[in-house]
Order: sequence, then structure tokens, then C-alpha cells
Amino acid sequence: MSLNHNQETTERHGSCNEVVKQLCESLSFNTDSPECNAIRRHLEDCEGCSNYRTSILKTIHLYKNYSVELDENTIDRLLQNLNLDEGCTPSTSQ
Amino acid sequence: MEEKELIEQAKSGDKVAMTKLVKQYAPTVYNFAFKVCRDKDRAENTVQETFLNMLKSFDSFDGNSKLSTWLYRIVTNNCMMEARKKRPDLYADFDTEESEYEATLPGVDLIPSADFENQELKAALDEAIKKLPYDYRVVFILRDIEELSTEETAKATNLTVAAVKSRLHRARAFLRDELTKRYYR
Repeated sequence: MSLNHNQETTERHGSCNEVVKQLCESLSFNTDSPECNAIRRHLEDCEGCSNYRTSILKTIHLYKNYSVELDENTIDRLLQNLNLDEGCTPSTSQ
Repeated sequence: MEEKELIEQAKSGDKVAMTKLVKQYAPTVYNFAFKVCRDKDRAENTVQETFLNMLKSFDSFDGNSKLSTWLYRIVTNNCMMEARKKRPDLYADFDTEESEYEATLPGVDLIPSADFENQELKAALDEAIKKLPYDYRVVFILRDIEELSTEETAKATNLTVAAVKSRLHRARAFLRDELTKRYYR
């Protein structure tokens, strides 16, 4: 993978390839482990990896927020098909 | 009433408890099915199949995992059966477990922010994820969208933890790459 990193960053904090792989483990870096700190430092110095992480987070955000609503008619139809429609609505148990 | 109690009642045939559980979990199952299938009609059919399976095999639910994880597993099995009927050449080529997905344009961020009035963006998201093989798609959705842990995702998909991590890494990179290429003008 040909990430746009500077040589100095790579030498100090590990290769971009390794960083990209490690990003799979945790995108938030919420631990204080030495590996996490090394990646955090690498991202601070490497614009390519930092952009990569941002675009992965955006991708996840987009898919997370693209959702659909299940309307009441569909739920009623579902209950009917499951034979759960008559006389067994939650209110009857009160 | 606690969910555990509700589940016990449903397992013993109480229709009121069953109705409550179906109503409670239908939106979650529908959204998950839609995210995997990218089609509202198929998602609705999957919801029905899932709850039919749930009611038929409730006795096999041992309560060691969350009910939602068990339901995700049923949806995943339904999707996998559907996938077997499809032509595999429709999907991106992720041939071996060890091969690395080579991202193009890795150092740039061109992906737009969320604007779901934008039909082009929705189409781009649908097109990109439809190219992913089902097992990669399901792992990405369970792990990143539904926020299951790696272990829970492994359980729901019958994959090892290592296979979940590998599929997640490649699915994320592939989707990110497809969207980046789309907006690289």
C-alpha cells in the first residue's frame, strides 16, 4: 500500500501498513497501551494515515445513519402472519 | 417485566409475551436485514422468516447470549442461504484469507458528510456494499453498524475471531475505497 507518509514518521512510529492494520483493532484508541500510543503518535505526524482513518470513520458513520423505518402496517402484517394478531396484544396482559 | 422473564413466558407458549418480543425486536431485525439485503421487500421477508424461525426453535435459545445476537444469527443464516443462490462473480474478488486488500488513493479523504436527502450518496452507499460478498457485508454491519463486539460477531456468523477481524479490515477498506473513487473527480 503506497500511503503518503513521510519517511521520518515511518522510522519513528512504525510503517503505515502496520498502522492501517492496527486501525482494524480499534479506531478510537481508548487505551494507554504502548501499541495504541505508537499509533496515536504516528497518526499525529502522518497526514496520509490520518486521512485514511477519517475516511474510514466517515464511511462507518454514513452506513450507520442510512437506516429505514419499519411502519406500523408492516408490524401488524408480520404479527398476523405469525398468528400473533388476535387477542394477544400486550395490553391484554395488564 | 424483565426480558428474561418475557423470554421464559414466550418459550412456554405465551402469545402475549411472543407478541411483545416480536414488536420489540422487529425494527432492529428489519434494519439489520435491510442493511444486508439493500432491498425493503427482501428485508420484510427476512424479518418474517427470522421470527418464524425464532418461534419454531425458541427452545434452543439457551439465554447465554443476548436475544438480539441470536436473532442476528438467524438473519445471517437466512442471508447466507440467499447468497448461495446468487452468482458469486457478482461480488468483489476477496480470494484468500491471507491476501491484503490493496486500497487505492489511501492518503486522501474525499468522502462527503452524511446528507440523506442526497439520492446520489444513497445510491453510492448501496452500490458499494452490494459488491461486498455477504460474509464480509454481515461482519461489517454487525461490528461497525450494530456495534457488536468481535466475539459476539464471531458467534453470530459462525466465524473465528481472527476471521472476523480479517473480514472487517478488508470490508472497511473496500467500502471506503469504493466511496473515495466515486468522489475522486
